[in-house]
Amino acid sequence: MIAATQGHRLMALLSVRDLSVAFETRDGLVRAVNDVTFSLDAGKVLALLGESGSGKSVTLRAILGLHPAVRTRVSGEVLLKGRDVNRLDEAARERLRGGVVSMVFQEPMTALDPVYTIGEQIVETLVQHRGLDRRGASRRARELLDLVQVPSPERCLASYPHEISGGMRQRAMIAIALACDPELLLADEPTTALDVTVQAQILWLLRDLQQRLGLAVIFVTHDLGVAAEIADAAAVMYAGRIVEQAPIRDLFRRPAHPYTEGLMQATVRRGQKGRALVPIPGAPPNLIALPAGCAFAPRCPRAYDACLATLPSFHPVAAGHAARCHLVA
Amino acid sequence: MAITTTLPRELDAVAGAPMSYWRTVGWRLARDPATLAAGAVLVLIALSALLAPWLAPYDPNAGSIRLRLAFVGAPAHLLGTDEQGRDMLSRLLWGGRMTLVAGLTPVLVAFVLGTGLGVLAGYVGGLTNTLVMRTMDIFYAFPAVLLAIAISGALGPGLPNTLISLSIVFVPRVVRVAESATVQVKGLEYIAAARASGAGVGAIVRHHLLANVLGPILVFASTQVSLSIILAAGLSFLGLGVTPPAAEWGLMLNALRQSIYVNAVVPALPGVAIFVTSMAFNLLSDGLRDAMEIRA
Repeated sequence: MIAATQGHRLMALLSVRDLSVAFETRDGLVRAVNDVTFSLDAGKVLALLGESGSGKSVTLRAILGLHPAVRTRVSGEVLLKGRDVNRLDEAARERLRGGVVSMVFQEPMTALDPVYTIGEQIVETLVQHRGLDRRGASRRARELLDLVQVPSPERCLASYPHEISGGMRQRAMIAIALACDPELLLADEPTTALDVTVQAQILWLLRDLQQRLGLAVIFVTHDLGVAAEIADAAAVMYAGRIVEQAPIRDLFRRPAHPYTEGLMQATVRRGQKGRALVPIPGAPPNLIALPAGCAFAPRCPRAYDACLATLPSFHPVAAGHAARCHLVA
Repeated sequence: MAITTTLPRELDAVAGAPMSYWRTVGWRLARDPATLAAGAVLVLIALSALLAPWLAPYDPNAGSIRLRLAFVGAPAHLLGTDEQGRDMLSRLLWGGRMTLVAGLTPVLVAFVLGTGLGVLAGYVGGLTNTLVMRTMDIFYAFPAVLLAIAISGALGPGLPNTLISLSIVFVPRVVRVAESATVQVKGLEYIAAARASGAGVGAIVRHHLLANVLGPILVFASTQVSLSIILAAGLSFLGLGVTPPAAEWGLMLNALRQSIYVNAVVPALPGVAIFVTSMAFNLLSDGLRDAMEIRA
């Protein structure tokens, strides 16, 4: 069993182990991510679920090694194709970014530079990383816009970010992220800032690209429906910890952690009509002073003494399905 | 994919290719009458200063005792003569050269140095920021006029010293603007996005930071030109700038000030020239600021 997991880890494209990120602030140490462990194989999609402030985006940025060195404490391993991102120097990280792993941001308006056209931004990335000449890069930029299904690529290439619609901007953002053929795409709530109809288009586009290019994707979202559409597996985060990890169908069929259950009851689903949504009472804990036991215990309807006293470890629910909950044990 | 639709080609043609940023700025400037007028005035002033050796009817430094303080419109002297009988038109044309050099050079120097220091302080942050910005604050603590007078007084009169002292006055102002713009842009997501796609520090500063920061700094610097012209003229007026007999508007104003009861119009001419030039620069920078506010 142990040998099998180790063998699996060797094969994995990305393997994160005991990743913790803490920020030093005036008020104290903010523990944004705590002992996060997961791995992702090439060509698979992992959904990182959780509410705002649960550490999803911080985890993504740690995978890219984007956190500044000052006032940020990063520990643990982020093995990307067997190399630990945290131990690499900045030059080696720059080679990984874009080439092996790249990122799509939540708000394409702010993630695109306002003074350059979409074309210039794609070409710049290609010239820098691929060493292409301007003409070759322009041709490739055009191909990329075709790939992300922009209706009139020439016009989009010549446009500034403020001149095109939100959906087009996000397509352009995806085109830039795919410019250097990455193997892993980090998508940080790529549909949240968009209209509902456009959300669906972008989601289908990402799923289609993922399958055609064999991309591995980590898809950060707080939308369970989105996760169900696109992911193979899901990890639910709460207060900087992964509290449940499972194949996506398993998670929806048999949520084991009370927090996951709560999330599902608070989401509109098919057949919902006539039944009220059940919100989770209370608010997430302060990340400066995390409780000693389970972070969800103060809000948990089924918490008992042990939940407040000791931090639960992962308990298996089924094959590939585990939850950090005393109730499961 | 059921959702993909291809737009007909004609739609592209109808909508037309979008204009580039600087073309849009230029287009907006061209539709603003006040800015156009200010620009035209400045072009005229610059041309007349540039072509002074050919345009000036007389040697600006050759006077005639018999023809002192001739009135505007006097025969052979269109704008009259000064207290030494020198032709005012010639002296105003030549004086424009000095005044423009003394007004523009310090701002240009401050633009280059200030942008460099400000971007460095803003991007690196930490101790570097503290060192640079607190040093600038020391200079900034003095009123501009006082600082210029103090430095010029210490260095002695003359054009080069005027340029040095005025540059010292303007560098801290530009650094402040550059630093705050850099800090603001540095925290924006497209900088993080550029890093996420593997851009190094050099590429980020050159491509993304400077391109976004230069606009506001340029607008700020253009507002300082009029102040610089007035300060340069002021230093000459006090005898700390350009030295006689060279023609410079501030110096001319000072020399003619004593003749104001004899001939009121001629002594006012250099003042009018200073006023018109600095006003034109102010209007131009206002127009520039409005025209560059495109992204929203």
